[in-house]
Amino acid sequence: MLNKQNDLPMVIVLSLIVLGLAVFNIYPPVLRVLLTLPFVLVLPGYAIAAAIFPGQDLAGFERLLFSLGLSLTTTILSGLVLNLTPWGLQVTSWAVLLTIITLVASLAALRRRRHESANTTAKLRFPLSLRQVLLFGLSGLIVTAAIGLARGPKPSHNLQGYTTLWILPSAESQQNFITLGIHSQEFELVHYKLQLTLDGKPVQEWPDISLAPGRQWAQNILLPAGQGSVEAVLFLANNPGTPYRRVTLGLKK
Amino acid sequence: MQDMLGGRNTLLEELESGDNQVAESGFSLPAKRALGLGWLPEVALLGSMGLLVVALSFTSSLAGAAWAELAYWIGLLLVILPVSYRMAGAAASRQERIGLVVFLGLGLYLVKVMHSPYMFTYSDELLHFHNADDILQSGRLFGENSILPVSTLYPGLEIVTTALSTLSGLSIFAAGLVVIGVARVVIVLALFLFFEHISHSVRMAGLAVLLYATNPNFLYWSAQFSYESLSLPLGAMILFTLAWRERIKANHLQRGLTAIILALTAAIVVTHHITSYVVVVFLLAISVLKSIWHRFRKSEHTNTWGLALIALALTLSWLVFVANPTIGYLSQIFKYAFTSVIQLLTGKTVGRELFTSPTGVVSPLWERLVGISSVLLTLLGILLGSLALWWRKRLDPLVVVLAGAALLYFGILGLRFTGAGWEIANRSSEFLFIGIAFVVGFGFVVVRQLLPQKRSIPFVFTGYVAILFIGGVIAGWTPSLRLAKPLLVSVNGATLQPDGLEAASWMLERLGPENEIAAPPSDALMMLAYGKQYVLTGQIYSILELMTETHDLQWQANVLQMMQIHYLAIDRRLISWNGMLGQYFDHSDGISRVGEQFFPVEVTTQFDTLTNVPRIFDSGDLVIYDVGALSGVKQTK
Repeated sequence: MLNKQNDLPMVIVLSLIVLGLAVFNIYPPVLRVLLTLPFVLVLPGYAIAAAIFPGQDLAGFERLLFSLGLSLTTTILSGLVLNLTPWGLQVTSWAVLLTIITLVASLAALRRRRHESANTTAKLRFPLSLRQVLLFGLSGLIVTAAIGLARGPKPSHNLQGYTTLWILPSAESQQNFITLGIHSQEFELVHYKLQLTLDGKPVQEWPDISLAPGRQWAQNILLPAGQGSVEAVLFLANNPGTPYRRVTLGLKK
Repeated sequence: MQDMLGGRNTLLEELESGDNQVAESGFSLPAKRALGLGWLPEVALLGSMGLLVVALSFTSSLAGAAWAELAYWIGLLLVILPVSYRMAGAAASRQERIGLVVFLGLGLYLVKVMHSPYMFTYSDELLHFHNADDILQSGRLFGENSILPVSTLYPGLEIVTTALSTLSGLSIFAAGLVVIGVARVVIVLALFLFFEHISHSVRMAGLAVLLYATNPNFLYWSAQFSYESLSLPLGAMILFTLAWRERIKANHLQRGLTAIILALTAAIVVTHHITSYVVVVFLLAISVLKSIWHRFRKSEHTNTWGLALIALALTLSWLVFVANPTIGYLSQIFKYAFTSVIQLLTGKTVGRELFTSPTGVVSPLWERLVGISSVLLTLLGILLGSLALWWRKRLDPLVVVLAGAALLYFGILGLRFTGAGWEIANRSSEFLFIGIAFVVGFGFVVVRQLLPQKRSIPFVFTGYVAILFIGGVIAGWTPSLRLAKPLLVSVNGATLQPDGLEAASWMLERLGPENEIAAPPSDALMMLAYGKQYVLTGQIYSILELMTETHDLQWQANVLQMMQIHYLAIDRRLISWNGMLGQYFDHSDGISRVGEQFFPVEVTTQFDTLTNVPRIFDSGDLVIYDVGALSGVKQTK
């Protein structure tokens, strides 16, 4: 069983661990999340609340409220302070500042607690019965299933897919290079025909471009030298008479 | 501890059985009762099943199931009704009631999370996502937000989110969900403890928090990643801390609580403008009333003038030295609201049609009935509660302010009939419902005391809460927004996204960030948040006219030059001008679109005829033009 008086030493140790891990950037992702959630959202407020109320002035729920609320408050005000420093808001500066705040508040709380006559050596007990644990566990599983269901893959039933066609001057240095792209957001394999013209004259044609849902097609194309108006028109293979998408670009000398 | 609480000015002590009162020793209840979770595990189990039903309704609505909406309401009621029934009864312990309000707060928050489970999609969320992303990239505050510039001047939410994201490696989305979840715990806990402190009744506290959860914005609006969702919980903490400070005699504790209130006020000042003003008004009102009470009733109260004046100084300093543009931003909103009220009163305009969405869809009859009933029942509750407060002669400054807030609800209701005032009326409910919850809760406790043998009262109260809650959801969120919308679609293992999001991704990948582009709101928000573009949208600079009407070339060139726009995104769908509804896949019956309306072709294709305006992106509905030749803008910002 934990002793309530060990809370602040534990807060200090946890803060120093997060500081060390943050400075040396060595922590694995899961541990990183598990440690930094309380480091940002609980520990600063817990330590400050302990410093302000060193005795038994705060019951459990009030302590929880002040831990969370003061952590949020401390972090907000710390962000303003960090913004004034040359380091700004980044991993190390956050870790250092929040650790300093938590340490100073914890040490102040420990010091004040020594002067308090109140008995703070009560043991922490697990407050739930087996039945309650099982019921809460079952609730947790159902909630997890609900979130999993909400986050699961969504079918395309009853929705309208589409295709994008785009054209840009190529990143190549030559001015008559263009890049042409198609991105299918259709819900099935689609066959396209693509026509490229310069000042209305055919330059190139792709009679069958087949794209599965989510797939892309892009090409760099060298056009005849000179200026003019480039137009790319995309057709659905099953409806070749009707332009499906159209893009244009002006070529300069 | 007795010293901490000071003299017991118990508001309800004669109304409550001893079982439900806060123990004389202060917060701590006898060990046996304090550990009693009562029916909390069972209620949590029922509520979690409700959440599963809501999740089912969301997924089935995307597949077009007709029963999805019914399942949605059943799921929500499964979350709230068991809590309501337990709260209305006398048996639950303080611990159980606190557990119930925390479960309720988090349970309803999860509904919002499941509503939008992949990324932030609400318009305000996208604005704040952009701000947070900017802070992560630059390591600095007060960046630029082209759509809502004042939002960067209140970076509290973004500071906490980016701190968590930076240190934990979580995405902004995940970190934001955690922060708002913690804020949700803070607000229900703070309100419970506040109500408990001013009433000295845990039952009253639980009922009041439950009633607060029926406000139209609790389910979705207050749960979104937006500055108000964080500032309001901090404001609720001020209420609790102030109420506690009132009853404490020990100087060192009073000083500590004063310091906490000031820190909370400072955090609110840098988080959200309106909340900081409400805090100032609240503290000033309390101070004035205390002075009056002291003068005429000779009653002793702690002095709050210092707190009020410091809060006023902090708020004004921030407004003047940091967030000056807020004045113009807010004055415009209030000016529109005021003008529309005057126009309505003078008959120059017709009132806004209630229960009609911006797209013209009228709510079904049962929704209109429940919506109106909920307002009437709220008003009835306020009247009864106010009379009960008056009758019991238990008025003190804090109670008077709460009752005043509740009564203000009457006046604010009128704004719902105006187009521009509706938003103010709707948003104010988050604040006013703190007063409403207290007054109505008090009225219920009085009724309970007058009719102690009536076993039906918990059922009646549960029904009352059900109507208020459903009516609140109906009033705050249009039918088209309540159920989940199709954002990401999975086909053969590929994840597909709607064209606004696709265009945003394409721009970032192919054109880089910070291009000046004008777009309709739904596309603009995606381009700002996920495309990292400098986007202009809305009715400023004649953007609306430029995109939805035909004009001559000179006018177009003038507008584009004035806006300094490099790209123009034209979306032919009318819904693209709705920042909440336009960013999703469209529905189809397999042959054509369902319920989609378009701008006239001559409007959406007017730039096609200009040879010097390349049409560089075409998704069918959304076309992007390079208008640099007209505006003279050739470089990114």
